[in-house]
Amino acid sequence: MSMPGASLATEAPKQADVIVVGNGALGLFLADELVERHIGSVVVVGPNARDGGASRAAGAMLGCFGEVTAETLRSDLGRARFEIGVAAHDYWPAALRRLGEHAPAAKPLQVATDTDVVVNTVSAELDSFNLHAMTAALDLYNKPWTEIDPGEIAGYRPRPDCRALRAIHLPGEGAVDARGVLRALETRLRLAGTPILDHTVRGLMTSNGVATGVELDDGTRVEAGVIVVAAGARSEELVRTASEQIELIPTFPGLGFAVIARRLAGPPFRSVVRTPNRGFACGLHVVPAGDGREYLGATNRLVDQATSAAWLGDVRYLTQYAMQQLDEEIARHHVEQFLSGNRPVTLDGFPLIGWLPISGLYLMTGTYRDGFHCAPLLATHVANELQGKPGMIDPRFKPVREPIVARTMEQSIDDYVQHNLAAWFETSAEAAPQMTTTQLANYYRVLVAQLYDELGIDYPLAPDVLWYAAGHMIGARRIARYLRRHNGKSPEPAQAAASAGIGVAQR
Amino acid sequence: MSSPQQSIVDAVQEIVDRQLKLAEHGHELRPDDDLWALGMSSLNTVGLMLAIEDTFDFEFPDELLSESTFSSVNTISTAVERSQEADHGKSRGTPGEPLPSGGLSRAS
Repeated sequence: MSMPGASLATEAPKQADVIVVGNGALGLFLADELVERHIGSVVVVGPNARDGGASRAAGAMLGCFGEVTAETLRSDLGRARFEIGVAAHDYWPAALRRLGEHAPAAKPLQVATDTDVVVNTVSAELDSFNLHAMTAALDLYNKPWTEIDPGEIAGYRPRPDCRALRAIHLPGEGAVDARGVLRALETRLRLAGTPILDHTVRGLMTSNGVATGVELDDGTRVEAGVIVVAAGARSEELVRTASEQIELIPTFPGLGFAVIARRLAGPPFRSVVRTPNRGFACGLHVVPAGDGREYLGATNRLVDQATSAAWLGDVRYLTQYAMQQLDEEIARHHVEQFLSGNRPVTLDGFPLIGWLPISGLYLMTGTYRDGFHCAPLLATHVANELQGKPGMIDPRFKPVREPIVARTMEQSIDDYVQHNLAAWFETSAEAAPQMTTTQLANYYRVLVAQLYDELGIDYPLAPDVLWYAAGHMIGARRIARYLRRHNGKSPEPAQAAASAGIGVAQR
Repeated sequence: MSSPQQSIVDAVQEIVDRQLKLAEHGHELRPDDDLWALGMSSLNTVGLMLAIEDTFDFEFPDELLSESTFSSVNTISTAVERSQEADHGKSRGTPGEPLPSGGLSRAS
């Protein structure tokens, strides 16, 4: 759907200094940063409709501690990835000041300034483990949080059988209007004379190992000395058009579904209200969306190809649980927009950011569900690298590397079991009454052990990737073939879990 | 559609028998046995797919990675023949030839 008043029809220039492929948060923040630095002419390429793009569908929570799970800080690279988010948080006030004057209809871009995390009994113990990890991380990084009475959360009125056991308030974590931020960035770029081409890129052009430009979907060619691929879940296939010899960590589209709806009755939510990450997904959440609207998110399942086609099952899952677990009045909300987007999920769960082995070609993707939040910081980092200045993130997230090991096999199996139990209880699945949760856990434990046997690998995968491999033959083959070429594993995790007090409440 | 070559059927039958441990459990596998009815799970098909591709040195086209392909030794064998024909049309190395270091066999 194109946004009224945001026509970006621009004739393609023949050449530029930098082409940014992708008009999501990463691409637009980068282009804005490059223009701000006067590094030369910049062109952005990306379809205005952003069909299936992650940024357009994002809840855009400016949260990193609300995302913490028991596995976030297990390894030193997990910690490094997390700290990108922590540092990114400080970039948003300036970004919002810069973009505020370009906000569509002069509406505030920041839609919430804090977050309330609720743990209810609908899911399994995973919620409690993750809340524990969250509070431990908040303490470790000296961030404020308070235990609150769930009944005090504005708008939060779940069904009695879904009421919260605990809730914590995170005063530092809010949310922005993702679609408004994208529009404001486009307006800023347009005013600066930066062409934003309403096209997709068919292929990258190279000559003798040097990137020379891009070919658009209508056959038009634009030449440039530097090309940054920030095309989310499509990035990997685009890089392949430049060379089949570059073996990237596989990236899978993490299809998410969300709804923007207008509240008709009951007090509105004033903060982001969410569960911890659970059941292979990002937790159930509601984000105030301005003008009496609320954003409800989000599902997550890895798919073979990026698509905007969600399942009716996704719709049912999200809407039913929102009205049960967040506010019964949500049942009467008027739907304004269905959103679906594909998060770029790498096989090892870590970003792919850095120069590729083709001169002038840079990759910026693999940010999973943190892309929007981290975009202003990553834009600064990438702009630095393009200018030959020191970068700001761990260089081990370079795009051509061995898969990072962030967990042990035992942890991988445990995580998979816990996520399955969370999904089992949240979906009200039923076993014979005499079957215990321990027996259910054992069933999933046997299942995942068999999956590893069938795949013939011993690289410890994340639960969402295991779920994908178990149910999708194309994905299973991709994962198995890649990991077998890479001996199935990397060295042991660089740093064991639970160092520096993670997992132990420090209050 | 003609029947698949006997040599392919024999090789597939041996792989299926090994992967599903049917002989071990006293079942004498026949080419038209319904593997799903014999207790094969979707997880088993992952191992089966990989073992067959390794043995015959090709990749099933994506559209053949379906439940029906893995219904029986015969359906798998037919899919192997079709895949081999499709694979011969591709510009890939000689069967069995190692891939260039760091290279990709194909976009998957």
